[in-house]
Amino acid sequence: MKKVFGNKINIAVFVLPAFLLYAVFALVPIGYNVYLSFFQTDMMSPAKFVGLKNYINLFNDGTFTRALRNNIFMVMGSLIAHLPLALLFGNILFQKIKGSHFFQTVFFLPCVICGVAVGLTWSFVYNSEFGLLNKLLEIIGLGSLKQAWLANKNLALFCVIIVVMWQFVGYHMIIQIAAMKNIPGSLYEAAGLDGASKWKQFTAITFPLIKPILKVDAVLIITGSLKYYDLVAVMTGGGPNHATELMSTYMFYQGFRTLKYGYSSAIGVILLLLCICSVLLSNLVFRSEAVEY
Amino acid sequence: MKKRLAALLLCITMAAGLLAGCGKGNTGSQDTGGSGSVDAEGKKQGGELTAMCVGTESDTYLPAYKAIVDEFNKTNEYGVTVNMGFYENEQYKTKLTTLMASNAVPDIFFTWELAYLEPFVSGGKVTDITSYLEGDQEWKNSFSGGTLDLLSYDDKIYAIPTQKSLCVMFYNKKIFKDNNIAVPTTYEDFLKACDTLKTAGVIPMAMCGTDAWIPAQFVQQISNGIAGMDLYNGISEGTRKWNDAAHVEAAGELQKMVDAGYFQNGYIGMSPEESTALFTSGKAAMYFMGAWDSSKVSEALKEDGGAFILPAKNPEYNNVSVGSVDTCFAVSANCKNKDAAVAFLKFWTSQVNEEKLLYDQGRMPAGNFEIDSSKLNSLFAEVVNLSKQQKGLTPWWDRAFGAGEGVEFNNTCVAVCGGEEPQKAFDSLQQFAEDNADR
Repeated sequence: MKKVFGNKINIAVFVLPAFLLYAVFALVPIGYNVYLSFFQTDMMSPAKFVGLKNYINLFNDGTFTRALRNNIFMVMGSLIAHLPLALLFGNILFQKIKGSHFFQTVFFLPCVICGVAVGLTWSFVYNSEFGLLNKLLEIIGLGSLKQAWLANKNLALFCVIIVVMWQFVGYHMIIQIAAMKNIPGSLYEAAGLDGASKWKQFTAITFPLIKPILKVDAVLIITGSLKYYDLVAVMTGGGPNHATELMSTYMFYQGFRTLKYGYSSAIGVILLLLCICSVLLSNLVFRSEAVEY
Repeated sequence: MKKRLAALLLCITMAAGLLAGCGKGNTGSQDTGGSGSVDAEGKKQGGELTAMCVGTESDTYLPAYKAIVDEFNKTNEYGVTVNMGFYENEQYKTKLTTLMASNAVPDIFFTWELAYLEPFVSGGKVTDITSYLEGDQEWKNSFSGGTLDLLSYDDKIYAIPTQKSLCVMFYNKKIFKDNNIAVPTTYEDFLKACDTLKTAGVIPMAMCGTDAWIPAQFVQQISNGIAGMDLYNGISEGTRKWNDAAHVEAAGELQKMVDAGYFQNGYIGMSPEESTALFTSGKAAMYFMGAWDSSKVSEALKEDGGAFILPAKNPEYNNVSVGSVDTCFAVSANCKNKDAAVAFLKFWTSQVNEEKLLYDQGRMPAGNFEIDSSKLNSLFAEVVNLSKQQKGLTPWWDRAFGAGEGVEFNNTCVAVCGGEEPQKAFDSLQQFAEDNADR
């Protein structure tokens, strides 16, 4: 076996198929997308080179800046729900309480369901006429708060963000529980003997030891919520009047609806840059050395 | 040994995966080439023409469309088989633009008029069918005057309409009678009727706020009644602006109706199906919609379904309505058997088929043949009659200007429904129009 993998050519041969797929479906499109973003084109008539004009226009485009701001809200909402909240739930379920497996499954369930179904279900919950939320408000005597949640331009985005929080909290919780399970029990035992409180155990043992996983998780959360698409497309379609537009939905709109593919590619490039930046940033924030138990 | 075997297996799987990927590509190109290769063998063998149209199983007209296709497949002299696929509206737009960009458009495709087809025409993806129409004057003259202009670019015709449509106010005759309301002839009467209905506890109008074009077509109709054809022509030619006083006034009227509660509660978050159901179930008295909903209305309300044109605020502009051609078909530039494709269009727009769609489905024909009103039910007859009275039709803004300014107009109207100040909303629409010109 050593002989086979000692040879660089062999390694290349083994890596090649996967690399080809990756190149065809990821690298080449990304490159082409960057190239397209310097043109004004509808992909049919001859393209017109415009240099950086698409980017300049983007930052003068009120809808795009709103989409960018919405995306930032989305990232913040997801970070709140998927790091501290998920960590809290994870930590509770990590303690050997009764039914912890059951609750793990329950929390994890929503992210198994496809995004479109989740979106539809929640648009029923938010429905102004027969929605669960309005009914609940009525029952507890807050009938005056009843409204068309997804049609209110000030509330629609937060309604969507809450669904995203709900949908993925279990996913990140499971990742974090898995990381916690890797920590040797002897550490807790020793801490317990020394009289460390549960909170102390968490801050001194659990948190530092799962930090590398949290880093990966943070990258997943940030990039995931930057490129978020399906829930918004199903629940509001970016409306009312672009109030819930995200960069990805606006990119779709500019590309496939108004046929401004150059402009929409520029949005894609900005999205890519933001994702790269956020990865670098979270690498910086969560810097930690490798742990050996 | 075991490990080596495993490695070998993995390797094979990977390679197989790669091949499968390529394999799909191959069959794909064979598919699109299929119609061509068979067509190339000539008319004897016929071949297949692919076609794409908007429609879902819930549309009452779908079986009639399919019947037309089947009939053509049985009888056409070219021996071709047309294979028509139906897609939901939004899906269709995405699919068609993607196929256009990758040069894989079906031979015959459904299209909207004006700005929707324009980029495809200027990109050279659509067949110029002028010569076919010139070659058959009878066919050309069967279309009502002006309808082909909406599908012409640089004086060349690229598609044919199969229908006409206009916006009407459907109303429930029984509710009107119960509340002693006559069909309003002036704008004031109309508002008074809404008021009477509101006090009587009936929902005056069913409206939907989630599909932005629905409130938008209502605003467009009101603005037609304020400034007439002039407004449409002016904006199309660039001599009037989007924040024209007429638009602001019309949007203000809509806002007043919203504030007065003339639409059902929660309309702004309601889907089109829900709001239509309010009217067809007799809970709402009026419903402003394109005449294409006549069959739905007459099926539900029977003899109680009626229609009138929203009276103009400025009476001299009565009967200037939102309307246009509908369900247009074009032939793609890379269609291999254009003669057969055009024959299919000709077959669809033949009087027999147009009559069938009219008498059974209430779909107003684009052709100008004599209509036998005795074969129409009362609602269809009313709608056809209204359509004849129109002095002018202004196409929907989102068709005239496409997804840019057109869709933004729709969004602006929804924003006004949501309480935004009309002047401010239309000022930002004008700003958008100026910015968008350079993207």
